Amino acid sequence: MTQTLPNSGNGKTTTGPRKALSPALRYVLRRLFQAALVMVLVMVGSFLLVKLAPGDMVDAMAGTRDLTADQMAALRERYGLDQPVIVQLLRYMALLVTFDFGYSPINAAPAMDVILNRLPVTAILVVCSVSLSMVIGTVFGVIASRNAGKPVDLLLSMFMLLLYATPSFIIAVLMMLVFSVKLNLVPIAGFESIGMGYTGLTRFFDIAHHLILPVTALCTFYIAIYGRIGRASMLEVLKLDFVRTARGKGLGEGRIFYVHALRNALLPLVTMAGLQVSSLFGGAVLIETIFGLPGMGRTAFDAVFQRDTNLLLGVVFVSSLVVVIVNFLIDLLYMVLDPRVNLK
Amino acid sequence: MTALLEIENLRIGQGNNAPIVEQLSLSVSRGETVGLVGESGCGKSLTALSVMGLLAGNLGVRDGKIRLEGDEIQSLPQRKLRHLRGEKMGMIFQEPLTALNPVMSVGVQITEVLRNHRGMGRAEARTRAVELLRLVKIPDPEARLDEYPHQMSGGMRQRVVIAIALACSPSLLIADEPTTALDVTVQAQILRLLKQLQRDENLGLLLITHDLGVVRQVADRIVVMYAGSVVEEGLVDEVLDNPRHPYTAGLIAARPSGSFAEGAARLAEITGSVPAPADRPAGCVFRDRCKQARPECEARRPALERAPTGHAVRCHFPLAEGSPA
Ligand SMILES: Nc1ncnc2c1ncn2[C@@H]1O[C@H](COP(=O)(O)OP(=O)(O)O)[C@@H](O)[C@H]1O
Ligand SMILES: [Mg+2]
Repeated sequence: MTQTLPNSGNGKTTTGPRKALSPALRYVLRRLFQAALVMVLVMVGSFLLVKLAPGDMVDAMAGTRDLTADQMAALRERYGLDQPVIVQLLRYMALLVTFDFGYSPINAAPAMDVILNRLPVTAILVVCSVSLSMVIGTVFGVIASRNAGKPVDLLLSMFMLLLYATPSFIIAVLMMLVFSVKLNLVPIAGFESIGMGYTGLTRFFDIAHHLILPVTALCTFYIAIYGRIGRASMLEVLKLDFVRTARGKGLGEGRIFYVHALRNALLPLVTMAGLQVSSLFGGAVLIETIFGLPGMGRTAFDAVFQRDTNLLLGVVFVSSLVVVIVNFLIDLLYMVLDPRVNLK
Repeated sequence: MTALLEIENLRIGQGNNAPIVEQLSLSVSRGETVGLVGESGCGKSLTALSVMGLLAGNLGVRDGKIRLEGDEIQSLPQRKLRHLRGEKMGMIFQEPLTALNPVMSVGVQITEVLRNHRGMGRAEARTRAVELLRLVKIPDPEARLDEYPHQMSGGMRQRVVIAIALACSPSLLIADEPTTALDVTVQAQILRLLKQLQRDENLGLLLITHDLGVVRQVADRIVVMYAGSVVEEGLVDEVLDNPRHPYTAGLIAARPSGSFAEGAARLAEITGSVPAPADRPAGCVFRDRCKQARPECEARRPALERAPTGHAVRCHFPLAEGSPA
């Protein structure tokens, strides 16, 4: 006897990742293609936007040394800036494929080198703050939901509201005043101690020491977000029918809470992590500035104000690439966490 | 027959509000199928949940006794009660589509019961899970174990829920409208399966439904509920062929496919709807909707009177035996 009835639950019956690999593979390939398309669109869009803005690379050069009109025209010709925009665009895209971002006049170096130099700073900052805030926030949220309505929940909710409402730069400055200036426990700014020639583990601890405050400052707001989403998500999941089934079969509250409910409640938190990466990568200008960290946000900021279009476009390219890759990974993680993910 | 489940004078309420279920008594013996019927909202599910000790946090058993094989459920510590669930009593719910955890495989959801109550190892539990899926007639059970609920149809999922409920061979099975959400053909299959399992495993089965046809098909006794309490109770044939409470007679008459009881169809359908717990009238709770209501019905609440045959009715003026109104 075979059931042929369609399940009316969530639309079409999908073939899960375990049963057949080919839909999963096709899904991955399709997502990769989408990602590539997004990258092309982002680059064409930002290139045109930059060209629309007044001033170009030669103007930026003219700001640092005196150039005659003839010299400027010669430079424009040399960099192809006298060509029609469409030609410039095609040339630029052709170079991009080889990861050549062109020359950065304000750094007097290839833009690629500048970016490769600064990428690790932001990468470390983002990876540390995302993982820390996600873990701490989720733990807070789960504890709060487990004790919903009790004093622990109220205390945690108040604490999270405080973190949520205080701008991170204020927290940054306060921490700096207390821990660096007053107590002298951590360095006040910078990514690492300059000129000490640290290597290996010593360098690792030196960098960690420098990043304690900026990472904490970037975490506070997101701890509150994860905490609130986690709490709400757990409480929502605990109302679902399958929790009653789990109780009905005599499982302990621990298993119901940490195995049955938590696995379902994690999904929105993973989505949030993707958003957080996207927003911190390049969006941490304020914190990077306060703590004197030469990161991507800082670099973009300088590039905009000094009309270094190549550097700006390079930063946009790398940031978008990271965001696209992270979102792709999040989708894959979703596939693992939720067997219902529609592979169509 | 010794009573497996005894509910005596149960009252369920929320805080100090009017009780939702009151003066409710019923019993289920080993090897017996009892059909619990009544319009939706009359308290059938709450009664079932109170037996399992699974009432929502805002509700509670305010009075009365629930005994399972002599153990008083309300006075058991949580840990003991947890062991009774799954070990001695299992429950099947109305919505098979949402009753299973969507992110855990069917196999894990069955084996965790066995590992929890029986301390089985992974392999042993898996072997037993395959047997269980075979018991509930799921084809190709080994392969099905690794599937997720969304890969199964509603009927298949309900079979899995039944397998979970029966995993530790309980003596009592409560099925709360187990087929309401399913297609008609699947309904019949599931009912047949339930009936067969009940016989083979000598289960006491409390089958909640609002379908009198289902009761006629599978139940030995019927308990008719109205607005939180029992209004009529007895052997299925006796009650359905010979309803003595006007409400039961109305339910029978309201059946789309006609009536079992000769003459019951002559009664008009019941008008109005079940009053909310706070709006139940004084005296007989059914009098607002009763064609036979007299002043007496307002003055005092009728008791559940039991005839020597076991046929019980809660009415001051029951329909005459043998010839309903
Ligand atoms: N958690 C709850 N809190 C308050 N009232 C409830 C709750 N659950 C159910 N009720 C009310 O109890 C009454 C009986 O519900 P229920 O037992 O589910 O009826 P049914 O006979 O349809 O299964 C309904 O009026 C319902 O609104
Ligand atoms: Mg119900």
